This record gives sequence, C-alpha cells and structure tokens, in this order.
Amino acid sequence: MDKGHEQRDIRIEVPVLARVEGEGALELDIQSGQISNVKLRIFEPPRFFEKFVEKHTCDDVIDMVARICGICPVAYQMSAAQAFESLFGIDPGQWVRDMRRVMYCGEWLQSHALHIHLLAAPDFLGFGSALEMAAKYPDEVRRGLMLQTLGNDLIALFGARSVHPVGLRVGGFYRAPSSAAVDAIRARLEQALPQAEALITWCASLDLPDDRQGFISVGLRHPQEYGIYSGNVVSDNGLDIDVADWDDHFREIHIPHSTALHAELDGEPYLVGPLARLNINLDRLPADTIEVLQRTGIAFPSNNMFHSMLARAVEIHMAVLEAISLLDGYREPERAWVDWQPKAGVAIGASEAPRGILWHRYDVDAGGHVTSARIVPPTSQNQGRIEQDIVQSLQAFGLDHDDDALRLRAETVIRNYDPCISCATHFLTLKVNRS
Amino acid sequence: MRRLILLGIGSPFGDDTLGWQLLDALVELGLELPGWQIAYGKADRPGPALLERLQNQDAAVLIDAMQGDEPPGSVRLVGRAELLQQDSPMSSHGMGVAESLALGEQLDMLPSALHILAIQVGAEPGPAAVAQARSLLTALLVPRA
Repeated sequence: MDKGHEQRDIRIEVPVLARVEGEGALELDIQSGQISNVKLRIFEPPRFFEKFVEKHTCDDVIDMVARICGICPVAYQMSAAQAFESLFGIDPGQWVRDMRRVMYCGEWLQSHALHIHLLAAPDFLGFGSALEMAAKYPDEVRRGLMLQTLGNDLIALFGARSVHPVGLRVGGFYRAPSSAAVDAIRARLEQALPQAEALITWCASLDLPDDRQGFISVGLRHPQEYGIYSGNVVSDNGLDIDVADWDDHFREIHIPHSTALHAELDGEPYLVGPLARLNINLDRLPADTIEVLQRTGIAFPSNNMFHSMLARAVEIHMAVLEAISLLDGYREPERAWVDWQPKAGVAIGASEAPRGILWHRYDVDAGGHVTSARIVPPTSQNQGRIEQDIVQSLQAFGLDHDDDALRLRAETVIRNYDPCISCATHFLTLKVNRS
Repeated sequence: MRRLILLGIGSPFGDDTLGWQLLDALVELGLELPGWQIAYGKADRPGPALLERLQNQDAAVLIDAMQGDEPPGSVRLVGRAELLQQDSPMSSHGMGVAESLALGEQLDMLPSALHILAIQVGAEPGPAAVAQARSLLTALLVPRA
C-alpha cells in the first residue's frame, strides 16, 4: 500500500489528567481512517460537596461552596448568594450588586489572564510550557502575571483573600472596603487598561487554526449588562428563560466513562464559557471594547472554537473597564448588607463563572438551613461539547498526522476550554496502540 | 536599610501550617536583623502571585514545611540554586512555589537574595527550632563585625 495513503489503526490513551479539581483522561481510537471512539474520561471521585452543605445555614454554605474551586470561588459564592436572596425576597440594593460585579470582574481577570498566558498561548506559539515561552516572550508573560495579580487583589478587596474569599454573605458583604483601598486599586486598573487593550490585539495576531464548527452557545444575558453576575439563560438558537426554569430545558445525565454528569440542552450538547458568552453578549460590551475588537478584523459571533482565547482577552478588557466604571465615585456605605429573614422553599441562582454558567439549586427549611443541594458547574456542561470538538478538530487537522501531533492537537482542544482538568494536560504520557 | 520579606507559605491545615507557625514564632520573638527592614507575610498556595509578593525586595526568605530526612520540627536553609533545580509541571491550578520561582527567575523578577527556611514536617516548631531559625537568618543576612 502507498504509505502516504495508509490508514492506521491508532489508539491514543492519555491515562491521567491528574492533580486538579477534576481528574480525567482521554481515550481516542482511530480505525480505518475514522475516529471510532473518543472519551473524555473524568474519574475524579465524588467530592460530596452537595451533601456536605446539608443542614448548614445559608451563610455557611456561601463559604463552603467557595471551597469547590480555587480558581473560581467567587462564582460559587455569587450563585449561592443570589439563590438564597431570591428565595428570601431580599433586595441587597444597587451598591451590593455593583460591588459584587466588581469582585466578579476580579475573578474573571485572574482566571482568564492565567489561562491565556500560562496555558493556552504556549500551544499556539509552539512552546511546551509557559516557562519556555517566558524566555522569548517575557513581556507578555509579565503582562499576564500583572493582570492576574490585579484580579486577585480585586477579589481580596472584598473577600479578604483571593483564594476562597470570605467576604460575601446573604444580603451583601460582611464589610465594605475603605475609600483609600478602592482608590488605590482603581488607579491600578486604569494603568492596566492599555495592557488589556494590547492583549486583545496580541491574541488576535496569533496564528490560530481556522476550525469552524457548529455548536450551540449558551450564556447569561442581562437587559443592560454583559452577562457576569446575573441574567436570563439564553442560547443562540432561541432559548431565553429565567434561571428558575433551567430544569425545563437542561438535563444532566450519567455517562459511564465520567463521574461528572454531562449536560444537554433539549437533548443536545452545548457550549458555555467565554466564546459562548461573547457570541450572545456582543451588544453588551462597552463601546471602547467593541472598538478595540473591531480593529482586529475578527468578526464575532464566531464559530471557530480557537477564538475562545481571544474571547477571554475581550472579557478581560471589558472587566477592567467595568471595574473602573463601577468604582468611580465610590463611597463607603453605612452598612454593607441588608437584614433578612429565612423562608422555606427552593432557592435557585446562577452566575457566569470564568468557564461558563454555574447553576445552583437548594432546598431550604424554615430556619434557613439547606436540606438538599444541586450544583451544575460549567466544566461538566462542556464535556459533551469537548468530545464533539476533539472529533471535528482532529478530522479537520488530518488523521494522517503522527501520534505526537494528534495528541498535541487533542490536548490543545481540551485546554482551549480551560476546564479544571486542563491543568494536567500539559504533562501527560501518551500510549499508542497500533494494530 | 535594605528590605527583607519573610513570607510564610502554607495553609491552616495539618503539617502545611508549619511555615505559618514558624513565621508567627519569629514575629513573636521580635526578630531583629541589623541593617534590614523586615516585612512579614503569609501566603496560601500563592501560585504565580508569589512573584508579586517578592517585588521591590532586596531579599526574601520563604518559610515552608519540608518533607525530608531531617528530625521532625528541625529547620534548615535551602539556597537559591537548590530551589530553582526543582522540575515540576506547571498549571493554573497546580502552580507551586518551585514553578513560580522558576518563572520568576526566567523573567528576572526575583530578589537577588532568595532562600527558603524549611521546617521538617512531623512536629510543631519548638523553642529550639525558633532559636535555630533566628541563628540561621542572622548568619545569612548579618555580616560579622
């Protein structure tokens, strides 16, 4: 047989995606020139958080769910707080809403800056790690670290610390930051704005694969704001529902190869995260961000999954602008929370974690104790889409590439989603079985 | 006066808290090092944000728990070269002290003097360990008259 047309049977196993808030592996079989099997296997043992929170008070639960993730604890707190406040009929007021949005901008900043500069960019610049990349692109990596630190400090401004912050409570915050602290960080945000603008230009200049795919984008959409803190659940194929109606359209399902539940929207896999959000929130971007994005010449909505990194850069610019705007004219309130009374019922809330919609549902008793909980995180929602993407991307890439190239492309696809398990995909061993 | 930061690395739990405990003990002791203005700090899995904490310092000593062959609760100094020899993978969730320092070295973001004061896991820092830590820091940073 002509070797150039040989159709190999290949089995690629990436056995351990280890160390992180999600343990998984990748299985890929190619037979007779077709992908016959792809499984993103998540075998992380159940972490039982939904059981841990039972019998705890709502305020305790806000701190407990922050422990689920070291990168997006704010998202867990925001979804939980809004769920309880919705049930109890609490209006925390404009100051609380604005400051929570600022805090959330901090989380997006640090999470997106880390992913772009330390995880995703090395893939597209041909480096094995950020350390290697730093030798040739020191200014870019320094920019990433600066933005990440700024985001962390913005979280700590309200939460006392950036990892597992403790500042949020039902009805508001435990305390308001001082005007002096706010002024100092606002000045740093203004200094960072040119860097955020340069980041968009830089991401748009990278030689990304042109891999266009069909997928459903799902995200929160708010009447006035870019979907961060709240909004309706909206898709680009016509869905527009209140977060309380989630179960009418979304379904979690067990898949044998994953301990994390998959999710479907009306029976279909879907995408959550920066690209999906940007696709359905373009008209909610600040005018300055739109202008910078338009100068790149890259059109959104985009169906190129590799535009996810650019979408993160756009969201960083938006978050910096948003935080500057919301902190303008900051005044310390007399009290950073409103009083409330518990009530029995079902509490539902959702917000946009850096990686996508984070939906919470709690049953609460009359004393304000949680009796059951259900949490739908973004990474589990994206599992089905990631598997689809691996198949489509590798076919577009060409299955005749050697095993190392196929593995790298598959890992690049996974990393592009910034799943928690992506941490491990940089250093996996590869086993190839040929028949 | 030159600037020195003593930064405890750890968390509130188990042996991971030993670095913080040793830092607290040195603060309580009223550590003084002639010629140095000392700042103190604690960090819980700082990741690459560690580099920001080391900015604008002439010297930094990270105080961290160690799994080695030393007697439990004993302390020793680990130098810059040994620190940077660590070869660990890097990720956004799992970027540890060694990886962050390697990145800082690459980006020329580290203080010229950088050490780890390591305390062996298995026992809390007692008076002997605290005295040993003070002696090590003094010998390291204060030239003999």
